[in-house]
Amino acid sequence: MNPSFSAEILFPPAEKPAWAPLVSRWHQLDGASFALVEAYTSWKQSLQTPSLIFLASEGASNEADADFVKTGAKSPSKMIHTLPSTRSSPLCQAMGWSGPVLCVQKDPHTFETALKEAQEMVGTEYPVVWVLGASPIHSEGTLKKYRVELVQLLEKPKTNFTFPVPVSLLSEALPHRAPMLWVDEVLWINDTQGECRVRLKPGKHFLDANGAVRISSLIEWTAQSYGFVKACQVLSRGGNANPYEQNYLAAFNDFSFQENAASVLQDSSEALVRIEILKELGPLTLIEGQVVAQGEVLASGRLKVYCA
Amino acid sequence: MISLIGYGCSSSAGIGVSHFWESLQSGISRAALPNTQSWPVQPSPTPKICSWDLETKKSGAQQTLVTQLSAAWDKARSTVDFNPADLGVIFASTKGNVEDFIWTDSPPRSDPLTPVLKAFLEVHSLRPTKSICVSNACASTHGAIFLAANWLRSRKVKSVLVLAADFIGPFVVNGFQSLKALSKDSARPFSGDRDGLTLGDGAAALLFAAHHQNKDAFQIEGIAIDNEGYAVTRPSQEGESLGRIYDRLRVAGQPVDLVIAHGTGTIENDKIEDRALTRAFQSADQRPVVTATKWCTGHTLGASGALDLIAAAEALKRQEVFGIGTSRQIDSDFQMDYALQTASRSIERVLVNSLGFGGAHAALVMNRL
Repeated sequence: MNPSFSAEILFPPAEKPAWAPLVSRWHQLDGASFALVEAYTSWKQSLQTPSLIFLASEGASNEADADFVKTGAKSPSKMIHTLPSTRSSPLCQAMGWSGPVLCVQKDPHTFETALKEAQEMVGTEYPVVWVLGASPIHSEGTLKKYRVELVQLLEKPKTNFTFPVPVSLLSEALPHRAPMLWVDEVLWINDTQGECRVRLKPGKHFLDANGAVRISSLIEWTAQSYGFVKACQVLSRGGNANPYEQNYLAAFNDFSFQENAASVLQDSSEALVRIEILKELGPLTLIEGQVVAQGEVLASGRLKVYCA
Repeated sequence: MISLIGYGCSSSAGIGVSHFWESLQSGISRAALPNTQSWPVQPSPTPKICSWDLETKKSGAQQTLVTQLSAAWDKARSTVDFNPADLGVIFASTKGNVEDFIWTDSPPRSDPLTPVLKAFLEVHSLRPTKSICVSNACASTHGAIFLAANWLRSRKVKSVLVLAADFIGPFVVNGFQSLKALSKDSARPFSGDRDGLTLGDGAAALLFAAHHQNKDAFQIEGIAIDNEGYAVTRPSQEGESLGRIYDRLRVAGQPVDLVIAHGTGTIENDKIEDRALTRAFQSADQRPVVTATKWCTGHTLGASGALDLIAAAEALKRQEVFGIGTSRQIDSDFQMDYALQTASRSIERVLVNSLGFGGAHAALVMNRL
């Protein structure tokens, strides 16, 4: 069991916090540092002492950087918060703890990426690993609200699949059902990419009456590949493979096909579809896809996928 | 244990390791005053900053960083048989491309490091299995190597490219100026009259693999990082955090011939390094000699640990110690032995310190087969 915690913290506080005596110059903390300490203090009875902490905040210290610049880039008390890693200092003070802290960034997937790294590292050497992040979510006048998240990892997540993963194990991920499931396997994934295999066998619904692949199907292969890669990413982090109620192709831009695509596929037993997640903006995800057979790129381009 | 199998760098000393090493040997600081007239905020008084190619800075922080990293990577790649399959890439930096957007009204859409990493990967057509950015203040490179070691140990990848760079612009310079951390003229690490640090652009590329028997490879025997809960603005006065790191690395139980100290030239940094080293080696049969690089290239922030690692590798390869060129008289309170001039020396094991703002400390031990 890897418990997770979430809190929304207002800053500046209405009154002096109970933990103030533990943190040097607590009144000079920036909002994110304050929120981290405040949230930790409310959760600490439920937490174990970490052996490693990943500090992973979307937007790094952009807000503190802007605050420093607003002072004419002169204020030392603002300057000290312009490194996202310095947030570990007040936290360590409040915890009475010292140890390894890794401050990592990979926006817009910073927290997820850190979580994956932490899952790989938790074990004998690091029996308790925290992934912790604080980011501003709302401001009204001088009052700001921060979301703080913490996942405490005590064991590696149990995944019941190894690559290649047949899509039958991921059937919850997409609304499609056979015979409209056109992708066969997920070959590999990482934080932002993945690759799937499409077997070119008689009877598949992407073939026309002559047994040739309808070239427009390559767009659907790419969209389905994204769905299954995303499902593997979510499962590998210990989540539910079906995080969305709606999931469909919203648009495609500059998706181009090689002239010889049909003839190459005619002589192929399989095609490989590689996708890369370029940007996630709310429910819309922009991906780049590439369809390859016999070592040749047959189609490539960008798709927008709607997930909500 | 992991191996450093290739490396390259660019800094105020020039592009390539040989320029860097020659500058360290020469005892001459490569500091140069930049043209700050186009900056949105003028630092006052204007500090001394090392800048190796001011022309490239006109194109913006991200482009400059990618250019510098590319120069370093091209040099590293030329020394090693590089296989891009099963590659991990980690970008270590403190502020990345922050200068590109922080002076404008448009809010940034991302942290300032990830776009630089993405741009580098695109330029070099690299599609790594894993990639991430590490921002552990000025100890970022050590943080990246700490993570790289775990990737290689768990066999998630076969090699890891650690890229390290920072851009010295008005945000960074004014930041250090606001803290009164900059020297009036030149950084003089461990000197009795030291008065602060100088800043410098720098970039480095380090390629690591799982344990290599190649005679040209260097072994990272151990690496440890520690963040202390003392104060955001200053480290604990006896260097307790470094002490914990040395205990974890067991430096007291093994001969160390050379220490590349973080050695910024600030009062506090140099004092706590001397105290922690003195404690760690108080019962050693032969104490290591201590040197540093920042007097020469300026403090390159997130890249400084990478440049220090390269200096350590070259010292191991050449069996030579470079001196702290700008320091004439070591602080009389200090107990360690400091190198002030270049000298031949038998070196089997090097300790490389790295200290960051906000209590981020790290060190590693490196040897050569």
